[in-house]
Amino acid sequence: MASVTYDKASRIYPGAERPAVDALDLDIADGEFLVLVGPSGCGKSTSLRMLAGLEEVNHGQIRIGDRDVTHLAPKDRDIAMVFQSYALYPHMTVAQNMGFALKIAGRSKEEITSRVAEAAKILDLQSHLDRKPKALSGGQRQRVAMGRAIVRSPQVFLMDEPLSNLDAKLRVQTRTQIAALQRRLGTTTVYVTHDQVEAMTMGDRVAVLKDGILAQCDTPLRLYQQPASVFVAGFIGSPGMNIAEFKLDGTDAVLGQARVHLASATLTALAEEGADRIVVGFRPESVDLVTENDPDAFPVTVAVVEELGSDAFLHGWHSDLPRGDGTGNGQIIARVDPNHTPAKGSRVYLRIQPGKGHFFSVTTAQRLPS
Amino acid sequence: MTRSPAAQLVRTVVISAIVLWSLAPIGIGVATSLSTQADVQEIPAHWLPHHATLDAYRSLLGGTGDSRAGGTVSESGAFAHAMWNSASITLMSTLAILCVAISAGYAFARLRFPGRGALFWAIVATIVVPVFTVVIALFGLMADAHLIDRKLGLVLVFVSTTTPLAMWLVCNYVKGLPAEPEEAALIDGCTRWQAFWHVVLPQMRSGIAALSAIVVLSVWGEFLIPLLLTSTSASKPVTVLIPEYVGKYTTNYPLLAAAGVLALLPPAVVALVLNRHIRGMLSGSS
Repeated sequence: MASVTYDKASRIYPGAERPAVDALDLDIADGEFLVLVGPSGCGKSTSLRMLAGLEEVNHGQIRIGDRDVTHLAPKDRDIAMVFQSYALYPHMTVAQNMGFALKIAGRSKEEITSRVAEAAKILDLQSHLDRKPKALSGGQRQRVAMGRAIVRSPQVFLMDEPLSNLDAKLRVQTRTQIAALQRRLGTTTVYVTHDQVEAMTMGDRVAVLKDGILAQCDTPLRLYQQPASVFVAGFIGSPGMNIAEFKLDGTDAVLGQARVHLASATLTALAEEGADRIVVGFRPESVDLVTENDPDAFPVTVAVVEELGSDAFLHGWHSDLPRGDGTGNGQIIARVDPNHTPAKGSRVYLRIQPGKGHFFSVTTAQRLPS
Repeated sequence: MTRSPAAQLVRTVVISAIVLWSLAPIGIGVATSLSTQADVQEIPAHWLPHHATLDAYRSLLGGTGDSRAGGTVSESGAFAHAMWNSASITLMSTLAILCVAISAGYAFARLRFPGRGALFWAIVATIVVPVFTVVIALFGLMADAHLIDRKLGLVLVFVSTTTPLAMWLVCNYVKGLPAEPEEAALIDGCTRWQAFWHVVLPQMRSGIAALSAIVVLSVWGEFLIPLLLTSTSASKPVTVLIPEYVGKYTTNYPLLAAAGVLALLPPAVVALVLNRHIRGMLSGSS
């Protein structure tokens, strides 16, 4: 087992103007489960393939433990990878698929058989060892791909959206299994996904990428509570954070009748910037349903209420603002009591809970101190 | 899909016409090969022999002076020898073409190296050069290399004429295969060559079968190049031998037809056995 270090690693595709991955700095501790997450085209898969040796590293370094692997062939890196398509060898049986790496490494037949059997037991594949991949279900194929990785006991597991091809229910189930398996084996794991729920639930730490640049890398909770930028704030959390541009009014930020008090640190930062506007974000659960008379209450017209049983989410728009002004400023999602949901089309009053706002600079989109 | 009865009728008629048009010469050939020379020369002609006989086949394979079969007769063993020449030339050429085309096609499809595009199109462009435009130069070249009337000479020429098309087909085929299993193999500890051998080649099985069929059929039927480069039974294939049965004054038609029917059998068997794969290859999948 080993740590993994990206040291200003960049990948520029031939003919591309900007790097797909731009000077990525990332330290992954021994035994850590790190998730790379971001929208499509953010460079997360490219980062993983750079670590695998399937993509060239144009600048910078990648190290596994103390070993510089930047220009090593994939086979010399002691890693195992699970692909989104599983990439099983279609002409080999499950057992042959799982034992292939050991066979190439010249291990004895007895050793291969026993290690494959061991992995098959962990993954509940014993009864399928003689089948070809095409005779397996999606979930079974996924487990074979996992088995192929764990049989080798590599230093690092790389997983490239391994759950994307499963149906929703199986995905949730398998996600827990993979996380549990990783904790049990203690193997350093780099996991790529575009699904922020997957990222939050599985990772020890989550690295959020945007346009090839690392936006933030932190524990799931800190990402949720202290997003470093508007992008991270909007990307992490489901349903997403409400984000809108407010005007500065004395020591408050105001949008229509919505009013948020700003801390002195925030005001100082704004003054230094010379800004008269501020980006305010608040989570759907940081809003209370109040009465019209409540100070700071603002009116919202209810568009839809999503009832999930344990929760209900109110989707609406700020009644003071034009609905489709293109900025998305007026749209609001709020978590409400599932037993007392307002009617569609009705007018309700909401209030942002004090101290629950997230504040970002309008110019840099970075988090402001609060 | 449902079709109106009228459309179905038109379809049936058109397909029947095409089949008839294609198969009629073969049918006439088989009928003629079972006839005697007298039957063939009778006026008015009739479609089926009065007394079916295998005399033509016997004299073709056994070599006989029996003049009942007609004026010209086969030199003893010449036909069998030509069949052997055709078979060995086809086999050697096919193996060589497959080796070159598969490795080159794979390299062009998967590896990145400088000049890849230009080199690829330079090779593929040779497909459009008709053989008859280079025969004189080719003859000179082969004569200088002392490869006239030798099977090796023919094999080399076929490799150079057929490989570009085969390579092109392989390249497209490989591009259609998912890259991930290969990448998985590289990560599993394979060198590029091992990944090719253990993972890519097995996935190409049906493509290779189809390609083999295409190559066998085209090499077996080659006429112009062997006519030019062979002179004796040492290397003469069956395609060049058969026209020699046409005599100056008389032609032994049953013998000629029997030779044609026998020469038809090996490619027909190859086509039937590999038919499923050929369809896959030509439609771009397997």
